[in-house]
Amino acid sequence: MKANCWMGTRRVEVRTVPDPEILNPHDAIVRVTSTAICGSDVHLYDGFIPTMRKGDVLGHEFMGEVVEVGKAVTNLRRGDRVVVPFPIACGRCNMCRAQLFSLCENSNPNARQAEQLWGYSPCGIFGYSHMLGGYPGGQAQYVRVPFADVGPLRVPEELPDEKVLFLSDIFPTGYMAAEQSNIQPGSVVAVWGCGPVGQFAIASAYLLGAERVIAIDRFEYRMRIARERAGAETINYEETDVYEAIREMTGGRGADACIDAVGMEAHAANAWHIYDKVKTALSLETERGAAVRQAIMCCRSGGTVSIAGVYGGFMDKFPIGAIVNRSLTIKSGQTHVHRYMRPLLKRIVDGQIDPGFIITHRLPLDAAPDAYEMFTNKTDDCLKVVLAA
Amino acid sequence: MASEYSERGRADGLRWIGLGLAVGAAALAIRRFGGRRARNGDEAESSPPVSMAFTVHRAPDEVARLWTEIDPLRDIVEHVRFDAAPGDRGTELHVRFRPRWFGRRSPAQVQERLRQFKQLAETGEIARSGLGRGVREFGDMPEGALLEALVVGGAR
Repeated sequence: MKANCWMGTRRVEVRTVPDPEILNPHDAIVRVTSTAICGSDVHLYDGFIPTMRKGDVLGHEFMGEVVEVGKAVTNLRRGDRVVVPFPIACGRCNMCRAQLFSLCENSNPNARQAEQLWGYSPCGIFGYSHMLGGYPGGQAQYVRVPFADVGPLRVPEELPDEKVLFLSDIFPTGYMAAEQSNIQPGSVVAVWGCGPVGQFAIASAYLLGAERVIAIDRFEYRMRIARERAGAETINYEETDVYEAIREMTGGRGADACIDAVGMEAHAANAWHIYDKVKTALSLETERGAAVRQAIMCCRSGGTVSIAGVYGGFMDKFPIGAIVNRSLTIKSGQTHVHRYMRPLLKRIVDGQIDPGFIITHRLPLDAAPDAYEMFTNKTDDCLKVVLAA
Repeated sequence: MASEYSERGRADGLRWIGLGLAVGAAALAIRRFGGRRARNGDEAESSPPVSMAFTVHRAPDEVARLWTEIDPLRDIVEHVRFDAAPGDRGTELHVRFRPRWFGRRSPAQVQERLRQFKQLAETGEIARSGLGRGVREFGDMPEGALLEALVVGGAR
């Protein structure tokens, strides 16, 4: 089959690789119909995530048709149309039973490696480094889906791929970011980053009752979509002092909730950017933290900072003093996608949201290398690429 | 041991520093497991025992039965205990053994066996990515397959 493979920093290649096979009783094989490039794939592309190996199949946002099931999978059959959540979860361990699916204790074959870096291991993830399982990803014609009795969600035939594909990751991710921000009637929410997760965080904040959402970015095309499609007010951080602007827009209080939808490769229009660039280049820190630092400073006292962006290791100059002295709550986590798929599918079916609004490019799988380059460099007003496998 | 492992984990991003830490950890391991061996030549008898624990989400009597059936650490574990975990979280499986630096008796391998026992007991299968390149995954080894054959159906 054809698959998009990581070949080194800033290099991906569509190659012919062996078809996946059923290896475990709870496996299924899915023929991919649609798959997307995620902002977190850019961290792999840019070489920010360790334990990638040449030839790894990328992709963790995908859906398709079940073509084979293992002997212990009784809830799916050939021909079922499914969306697959990016975290691999067994459904039986203590974490899964507590609905904390991205912390599944049984799905990472390389848990030991993750424990060395993080203390304990989270779940395995499709196409996201060997430390997180080494599972081949979904930017391919076929994927092996472990614990297929727990993860894949059957979706109604009448809904096109574009409306349901993002249930695999970014819609639940934006939603969880908003849900854990303690949004109350009258809440003013600030969202760093108008990429796909930022757009869904904005939309979800409104679904959960926020009064106003302020979004921060520097690309006009992204801010335009945030304003016109998600309903946010926007701040261009290259033109405006974000702290002063949010302080003024909130009557001097600060934002009730601040959502970081940027993560480890943040860009800043000030000296922080140079500081982090130098330190990451020298391997003296692993994250560029400008967005989350600013989110903490802009949050009102007693407010919540919700981190949806991906971080992998160690950050310098993390403002712990602001958190402690102003009673801030920090919420974070890889998304427990399984928990959100059904309720969010219902919102789609009910017409409350059409997640397809973020798609700017539809390309064949063969175009993955160009698509990665375009998405990473934000050329051609690229916000989200969907690849047809 | 835990602090040695976490120190070495940072090596992924910082390879050279990591190499130094690995050398340091190895030196510690030699001191910890090797010192007495040099004196009397029988490390299994004389190295101080190490304890390890995993929580398995099944009842203590079920975990004990599976442990006896599978016997995943034959000749290695000196003592095993099955305690009810607080908060209705199943069973705390505690084992004690005398470690060696390498091989089946090393803390790393014993920990992996325990982890795989937990996976089998909870899900009936051992997690595998299908491409354990460089690292042979336990589930792909004959004994892994045998254990799965024993347990599938036993777990939910």
